[in-house]
Amino acid sequence: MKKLMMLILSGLVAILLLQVIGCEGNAGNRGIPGGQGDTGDPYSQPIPENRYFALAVGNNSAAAHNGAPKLYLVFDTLHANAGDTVVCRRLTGSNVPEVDGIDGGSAEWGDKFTDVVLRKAVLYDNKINTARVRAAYDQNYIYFQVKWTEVADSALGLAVAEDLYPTKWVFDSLPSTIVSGQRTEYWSRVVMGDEDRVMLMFEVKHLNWFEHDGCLVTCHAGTATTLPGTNYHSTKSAKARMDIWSWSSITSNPTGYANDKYMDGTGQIPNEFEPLGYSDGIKGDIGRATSMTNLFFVYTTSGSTRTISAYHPLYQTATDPDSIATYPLWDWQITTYTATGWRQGFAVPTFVTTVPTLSRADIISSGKFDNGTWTVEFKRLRATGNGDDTKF
Amino acid sequence: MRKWSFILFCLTALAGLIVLVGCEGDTGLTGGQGAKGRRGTAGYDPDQLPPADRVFAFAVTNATENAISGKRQAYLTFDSTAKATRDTVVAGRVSVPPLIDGLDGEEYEWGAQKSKMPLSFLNPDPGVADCKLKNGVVRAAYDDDNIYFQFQWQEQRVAPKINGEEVVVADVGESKELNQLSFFYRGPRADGSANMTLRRVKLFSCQPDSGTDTSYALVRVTYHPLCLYNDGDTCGCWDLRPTNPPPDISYLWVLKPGGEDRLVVFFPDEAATGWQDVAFKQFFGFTSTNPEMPSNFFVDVWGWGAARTMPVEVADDWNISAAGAKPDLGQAPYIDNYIPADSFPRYMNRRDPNVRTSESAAKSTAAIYPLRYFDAVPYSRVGWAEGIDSTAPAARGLRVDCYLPGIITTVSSGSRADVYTAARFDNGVWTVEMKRARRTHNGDDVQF
Repeated sequence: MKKLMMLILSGLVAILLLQVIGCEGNAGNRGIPGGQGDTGDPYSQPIPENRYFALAVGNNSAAAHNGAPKLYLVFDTLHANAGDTVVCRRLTGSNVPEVDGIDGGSAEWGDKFTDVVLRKAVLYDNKINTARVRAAYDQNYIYFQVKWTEVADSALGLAVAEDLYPTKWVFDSLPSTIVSGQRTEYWSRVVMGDEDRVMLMFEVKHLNWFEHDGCLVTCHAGTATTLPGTNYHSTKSAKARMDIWSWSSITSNPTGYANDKYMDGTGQIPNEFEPLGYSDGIKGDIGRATSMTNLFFVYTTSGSTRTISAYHPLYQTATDPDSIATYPLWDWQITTYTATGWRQGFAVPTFVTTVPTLSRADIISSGKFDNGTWTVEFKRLRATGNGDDTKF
Repeated sequence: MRKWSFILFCLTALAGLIVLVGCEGDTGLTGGQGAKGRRGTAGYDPDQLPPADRVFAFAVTNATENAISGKRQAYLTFDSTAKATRDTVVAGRVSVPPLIDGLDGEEYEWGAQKSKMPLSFLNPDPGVADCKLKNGVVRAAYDDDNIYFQFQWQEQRVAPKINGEEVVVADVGESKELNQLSFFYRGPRADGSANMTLRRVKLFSCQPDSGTDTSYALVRVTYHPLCLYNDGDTCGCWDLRPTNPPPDISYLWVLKPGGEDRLVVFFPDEAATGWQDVAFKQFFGFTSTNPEMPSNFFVDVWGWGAARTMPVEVADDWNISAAGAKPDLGQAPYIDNYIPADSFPRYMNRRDPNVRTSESAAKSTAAIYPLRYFDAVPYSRVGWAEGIDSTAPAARGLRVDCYLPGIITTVSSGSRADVYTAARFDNGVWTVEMKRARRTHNGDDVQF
């Protein structure tokens, strides 16, 4: 019995030893590698922040333009187009709106739009009470479409028309129009209107109360230094800055660009081409504008009063004098003004159209007038890198 | 005891045998498929990375082409932890770009970093007087797409007394009338003979007495196809001899000496030792230096001028390579308005002649500068003002001087118009602000 126990014990010890020092089997084969992880999200420009902006629409009158001083432009999916809210739709794929002034409808812009209520913004109501606004953006650009229908008002002299002749020089040889000692030229500057216009306004640097009152905070906010008692468009703070996209039916539309401007509170800027000798707080972006003034005058200054002694166009067309020049008068069509050979009633445009450059040419724009309705479309880089432009 | 020892020995031997000759265990099972990899990291915009640091130099002038002041080497860093010094410009990232308008927006637009840089006289040529420009300031900023610079410097009047008389080397002013052409009518002498001057016409005259002065004639000369050199060879030269018909001496335009206020910024691709000497010599035409140009030499040059470029609000973009200094691809913002061989301007203002000279100072409403291309018409010699006595000083009112600009302002284009620039001159201080895309995708530009 004892011997048997010994043998069993020996066997157990041998098994234990085998367990302790015996060789393990080889590891199994390596399993199949796991699948490739999903691709990370591609880089995309951040979604622009929601913001306020303003809209103004004019019908050939500086004294009567209607607007929506405060609109809300949203880029998220939490808001719907309604009232004063314009949803800016994110474009996917390669389809972008064609900026041609022709309403491509939902095929170009999607089915979202906002019928914005407009109201009187200056002296008179031009009766344009609504405008349809669409907006879209993609990786690099932002697009707007503004569409409105003109309303005739005989009392204000407003007509439903494509207004392409805002002011003109009219040759007038009648002696009765000559004021002795003041005029040596026989030209009259006849104001036909102020073009058809639309303006979009955005904050570049914060304007106090813009989110409350919109662009109304800039109306006549300036304190005149050149001419006491007058005021002008300005931001209240010198550091505030507002981007202005100004489309006009004849001084910008033929170029295919809107006139890119900005407003700040740095005061009046001397400008010898302005009859008063200064411009207000609205300034052009850096670069050449979409038009230049066709104005020559000689003046003397006494205190704050300017007396103009000569007043006539600076340029005329190559076929003048003896024709009636029309807009647009391009800079390659002009020649120097000559004082002889004119006949009474002949006219010359007061603006010469030029191709804009640099930051003045940031906004591609086109408008078409069709059966009383203007459709104006805009396209601009979301970030131009210019301090005079807002960034989306 | 022996028994136990024997059993232990047997067990050990058995274990040893098993280890030595025992079979290995079976191969394990194949592992299962690994887990799916992690989702890749989101893409990023390389533009959001700060540009690489680099060196640069800049030069400024005061109404002269050859008296250059500036900074031979400055370090431009995009490290926001660095501090601006007299040698280091720190460019900060901005969310709202500075307004390029020539008005100093200071910290509000450019951030707190500002490098005050003393300006030194850079021209190695002997005999060139220092205009003593001072108080240089440089600011820089950048964002995803663009880089922005602001340069400021101050002019001062430099008028040393030489032999008791004040000689004006430099004065304070905008100096935007570059190479103004001037003219005054030289009427006939009292005896009716032509008031001709044969001096200073060597370039265009075969006359042996034309002297050594190579500046242009004081007379309008007539080309004579039979003009001969002294050795009898024919030449394309100008015959000033009062033969029949006599040379027309009535209308001749000369270039008024002097230049414009300028700022030129140099960005080397690689800052090899002495790169500035090569760049300055190539761009400004220094004659006293003869540096060796490496074969891979490349410097981007942004040239701003109060006359040449300020009216169109761009800098004139050039580059310097082993082939020398040349403009970037595109149209220049100006054209020269002078035909040296004829001593004539090419163009004049639409309302010339006498757009300015016929009017008193108070009535001079039409500034000649800039004379833009659409205001320019081919030059005509007819109708220019004449004085009573052409030999009298203009100040006495007996002589009428007429002026035309030495350049015509055009619209620049292409890579030559890459750099937006706006400038203001205020109380002796120039503020010049520039903006350029960090990547122009033009081979003639450095990229940031």
